[in-house]
Amino acid sequence: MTPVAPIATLRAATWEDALEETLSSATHDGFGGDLIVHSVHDHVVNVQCFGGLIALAHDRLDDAPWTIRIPASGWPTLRAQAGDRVEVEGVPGDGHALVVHSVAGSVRIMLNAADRWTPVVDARTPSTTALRAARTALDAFTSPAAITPFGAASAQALDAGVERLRAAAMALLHGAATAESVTALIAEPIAQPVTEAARRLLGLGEGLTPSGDDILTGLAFLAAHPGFGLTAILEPVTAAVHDGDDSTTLLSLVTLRAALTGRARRRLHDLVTALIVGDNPRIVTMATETAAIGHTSGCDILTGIRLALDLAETARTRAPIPTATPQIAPPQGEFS
Amino acid sequence: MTRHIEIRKNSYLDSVSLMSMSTKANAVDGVTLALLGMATPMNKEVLLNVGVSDPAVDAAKPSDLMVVIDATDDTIGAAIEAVNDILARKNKGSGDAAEVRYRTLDGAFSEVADTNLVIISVNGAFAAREARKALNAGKHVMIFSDNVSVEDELALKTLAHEKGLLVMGPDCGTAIINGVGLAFANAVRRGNIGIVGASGTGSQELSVRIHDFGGGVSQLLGTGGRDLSAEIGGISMIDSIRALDADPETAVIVIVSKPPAEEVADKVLAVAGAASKPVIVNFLGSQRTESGYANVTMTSGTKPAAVAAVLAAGIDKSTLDLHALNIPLIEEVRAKLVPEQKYIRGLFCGGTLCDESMFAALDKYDNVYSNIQKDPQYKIGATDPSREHTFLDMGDDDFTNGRPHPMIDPTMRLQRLAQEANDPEVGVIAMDFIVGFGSHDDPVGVTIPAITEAKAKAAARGQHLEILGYVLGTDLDTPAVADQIAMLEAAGVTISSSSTNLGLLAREFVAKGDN
Amino acid sequence: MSINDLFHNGLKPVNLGLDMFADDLKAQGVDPVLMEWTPPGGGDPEVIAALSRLEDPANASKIDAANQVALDRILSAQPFLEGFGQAIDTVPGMTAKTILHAGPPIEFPRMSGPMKGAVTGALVFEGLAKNVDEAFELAASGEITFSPCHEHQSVGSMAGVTSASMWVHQVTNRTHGNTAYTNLSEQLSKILRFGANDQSVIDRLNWMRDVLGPVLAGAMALNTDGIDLRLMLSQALHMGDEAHNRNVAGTTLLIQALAPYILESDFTTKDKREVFDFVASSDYFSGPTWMVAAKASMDAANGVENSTVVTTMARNGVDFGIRVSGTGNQWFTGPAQQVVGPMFAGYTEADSGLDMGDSAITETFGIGGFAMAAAPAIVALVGGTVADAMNYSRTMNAITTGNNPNITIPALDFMGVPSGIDVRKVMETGILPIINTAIAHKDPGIGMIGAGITHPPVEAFQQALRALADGIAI
Repeated sequence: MTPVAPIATLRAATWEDALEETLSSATHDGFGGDLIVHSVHDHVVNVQCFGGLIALAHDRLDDAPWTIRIPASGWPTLRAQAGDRVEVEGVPGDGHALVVHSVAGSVRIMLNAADRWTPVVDARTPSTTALRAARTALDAFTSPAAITPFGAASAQALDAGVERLRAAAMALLHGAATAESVTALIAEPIAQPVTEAARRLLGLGEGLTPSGDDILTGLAFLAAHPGFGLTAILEPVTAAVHDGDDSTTLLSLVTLRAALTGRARRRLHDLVTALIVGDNPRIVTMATETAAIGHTSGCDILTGIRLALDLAETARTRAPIPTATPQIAPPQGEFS
Repeated sequence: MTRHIEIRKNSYLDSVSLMSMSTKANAVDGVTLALLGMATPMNKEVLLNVGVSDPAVDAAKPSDLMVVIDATDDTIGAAIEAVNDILARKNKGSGDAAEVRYRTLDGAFSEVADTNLVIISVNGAFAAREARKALNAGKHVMIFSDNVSVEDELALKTLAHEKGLLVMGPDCGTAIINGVGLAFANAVRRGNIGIVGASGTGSQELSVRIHDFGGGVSQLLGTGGRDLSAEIGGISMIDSIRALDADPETAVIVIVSKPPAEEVADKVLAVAGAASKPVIVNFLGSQRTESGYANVTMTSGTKPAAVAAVLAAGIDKSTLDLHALNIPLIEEVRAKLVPEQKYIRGLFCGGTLCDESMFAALDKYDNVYSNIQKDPQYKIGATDPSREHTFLDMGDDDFTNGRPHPMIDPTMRLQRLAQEANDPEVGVIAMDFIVGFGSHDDPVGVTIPAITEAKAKAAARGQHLEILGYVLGTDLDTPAVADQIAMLEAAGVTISSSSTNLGLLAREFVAKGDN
Repeated sequence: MSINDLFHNGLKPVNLGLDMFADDLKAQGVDPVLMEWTPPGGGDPEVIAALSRLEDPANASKIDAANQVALDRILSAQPFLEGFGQAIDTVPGMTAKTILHAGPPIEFPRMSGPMKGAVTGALVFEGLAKNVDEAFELAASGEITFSPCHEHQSVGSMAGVTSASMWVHQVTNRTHGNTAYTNLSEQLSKILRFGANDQSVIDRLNWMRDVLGPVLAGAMALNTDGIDLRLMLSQALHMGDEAHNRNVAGTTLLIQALAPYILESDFTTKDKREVFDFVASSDYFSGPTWMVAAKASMDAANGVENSTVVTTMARNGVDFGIRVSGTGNQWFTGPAQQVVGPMFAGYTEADSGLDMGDSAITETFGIGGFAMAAAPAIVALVGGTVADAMNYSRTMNAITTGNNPNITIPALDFMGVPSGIDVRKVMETGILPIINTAIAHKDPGIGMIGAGITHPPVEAFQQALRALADGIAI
């Protein structure tokens, strides 16, 4: 209903590989649903698509799953508002374009094959020395103490949740080392506590991606790298995320799903590679950048990664299996 | 005490905003507690645990924002309003409906009568055309965009000259007009020194040194880096010198540029020589020491240029803190370095700052490599490893390659710092930190962890790695220079007081006995 | 202004590009003018080069002068309804085996479903084929001459199919002496112009040929003064029409002017009664009348050397074509667009044919979509809000040469309708002309299924701009 034609054309700086498949199905005949702008932030416009989200991000942000980076010069042109219609166009030669129809005018974003970013799972195995060194390097990046009342109110539950997940995962990993197939474990009660513990973290805490989700993201992303020997916890965590639609925000779910398949912001990939090869300065650099994500999100992701490193290290060194999951103490006292 | 509970449907505030709003809401007068969180089942439990239970909360979905406000009975109304206000302001987002925006320059000119300058930072392919429209409408132009052709630049500048208008740029990053900083600029005192710069960070450095010496700036005009080439012939530079000469508020004129084409230098100096005011010239790296004109002084660096300017502007020499080179410091640092630590690595955001330090090193050493070296034998690319003395202008196109400038995004430089620290032959790493309009909010803060790590790495192999920093900015900038310096010092970084000193100190730190 | 004036006046900057610079200016207490900028010409370098060429001050002044001439002709045109006649007797170049159609030239096989339906229906109506199947064969045989209405001083609503024995309006622009033609409204139901072609359609066409046409022609034969359509159009806008899709007032005014002469004519009361009933059956009756009034006005503006004013916008259901004053009869085309708006019950967007018809001559002239602010009630038909309708008219000022003081919009403080679309401005601003129009079913034989808003394809304007830049007389 706007007299403005879709003529402002931008070329995406980069876009993630996996979008190819998503967009191809969107241009197939019989595809009924429209894409809609879900939410607009200063440097990100999220577009709802097939129950997931595609992010249009300012190119000052790094590559990420389901993300299309827009050059800084073009960013001001994109003046989308929540609810704007987004169209997927096929482009001759198998390419795609997204057209965002805003009141201020329509913008076509060209996704050229040359600009695609393919996240790669670094499948190498880190040495035990590298694991220990990485764990130490990351100790500098603990989450800051909560400064808001809500943050403080959820902190205790978060700590307890992480410990519960740690214990459950440890038990599973020791079981997994002997089990023939991970799938078989799902039926066993040994995997169930991990799912339960993950559920207790989903949607817990502050922020648009609540802290608990960020921790799970860090853990899941590392676990998706086979060299760390944590693949056994992927399935139970996936199970928690799979039926987590009512548990947390859409943005969290999308991020978690990607992490479980080994896809995350580019800086996280760089961080994991540094962890694997034991390049400490680079670990510090990339952890600094990771910590810069959101307000507490980055630090929470690092908490998840630290948890994963702990698990990987102790699993290798055959630490004793905890005898029981720790009790979660109810929060004490009146909140003031 | 009254409790107000509100569920805001489908509210997608990013985490940083959510946090800042939560902090603000808790600071509202009368509010004893404000809880903001996404309405996930786990977060509802958190609320239950602190005694908040309400059917509205039970019914909320994970995509909704829960707002709980506790306030005293007499303030609850005002508190709710204040919190809603905070939320509403954010909700408007960047597309503030009240903003009037124009689709075309002609439209803007006809609706707003008194516009006099157009700042153009659209893609270079479109910049020339918009600039031409502005000039044809009688407006001055600053073109921040690069990738404008030489032909277009010449045509625009010729047109501007004919119309008596100013074209700053293309690729002009810095200007101060009537005390207002445009694009990348620092907050400096107003005064009687006019600056014309063909280089952005060189102009910034001059304005900051002048401010530091107690002087002030009347106008800072940029010309763009190509203005003094043979093709353009210094059209903007010459028009700017004449304008400053005619400006009653300007008493002294300073010019800063990389060395111009020879015939253009002659032309510019002739115009400067014809001016009625003292003109201080700094052609960085040029061998010329005599201008041939009584009122025109050639200087060897940005700091000497600033000193000459403030003296010509009437500031008493005895009041100047010239920050002479700290010889004991040099001795001290030399003593800490082992014999094999022979080399400087300069990692720069500012092109002119890189130039100036590199030229200082070239005065003493031959084996100086850089991505901006003219001599192909000493030129290295962005992906090449550093060799011997290496000075990198990380804001140059081969480094940025479509990424944001390191003044905005320090990522590339952090990575490079980590690399350089691995080299046991490195004695000094020199770095600039630029604050002010346009720049990163906290350039030092984002670099500190990498600095700490670099020093630790050297220490692990039994070496002291000297990190030498210079913060370009003034006490009026945000963040203030003093705060940035304090953070660097706390991390064991040696501070240089100017760009000129940065080059000299780095050079002397690694000098060995026989040099 | 000199450089020194800049130093001595307050800085009032326009920020074109990065918003962060504007934020820093605000932080320093300066209030920058903000831009909503998009790359001109859709970012196509060739188009930008062409635009720059036309913007050269020497060229621009020549073009501005030419556009003023074209605009003056549009504004000073005085279209008068002079009478009605059969196409074969009146329309230039009409033959018994010619079919005129809407939009730019198109051969039969490429025609859209509705246009094929209309063409075959017309062949049956003319007795050139016994039935629709035979008509398809004949249409494809090469025996029939197809030609755009616009190339015969005519316009045609929707499919625009006009054949030899159909009756047409004769409208003369008394200022410039040119005449234009268009056929009669079939009113709104299952009709030929929407591609319907069953027996009920043919029966109606027969009645129009045998009764309606002769009655109207007879009436106008008695009216030797003619009817001043510009005056009537101006009144209709003041009464809430935009004269493309809303014609409630215009139809009332027109039949009021015709009625005394119809009564005075020698036809039977039964015939007259049928004519009045027919007119009353749909408000659209005067729709073609405003189209032909616009056509008579726009033709006068064609052929002004160097002018970038658009004189034709027309669609054949496949291509959208425009013609520009300075390039005369040359068509510039792009794909016809989807029309977006409310559909009649039972239909979805998937059923809709693409934009079709010569009716966009109304927007080219400055009414229709351009005058939506005069007709807030139209939003019920084409969708949107009253505020949208107001905005459409205001927005069109950004791409037109001037306003028509003879046809005004009361709600916008009697602003004249925006007139004289300038190709340069369309490319510069990225704002395309707004058209409100009916939606035909994509298949032949069904008819109108909704109405809504659309715009021309940007390609047509890009081509036109390049041709204008190539042809600019230096």
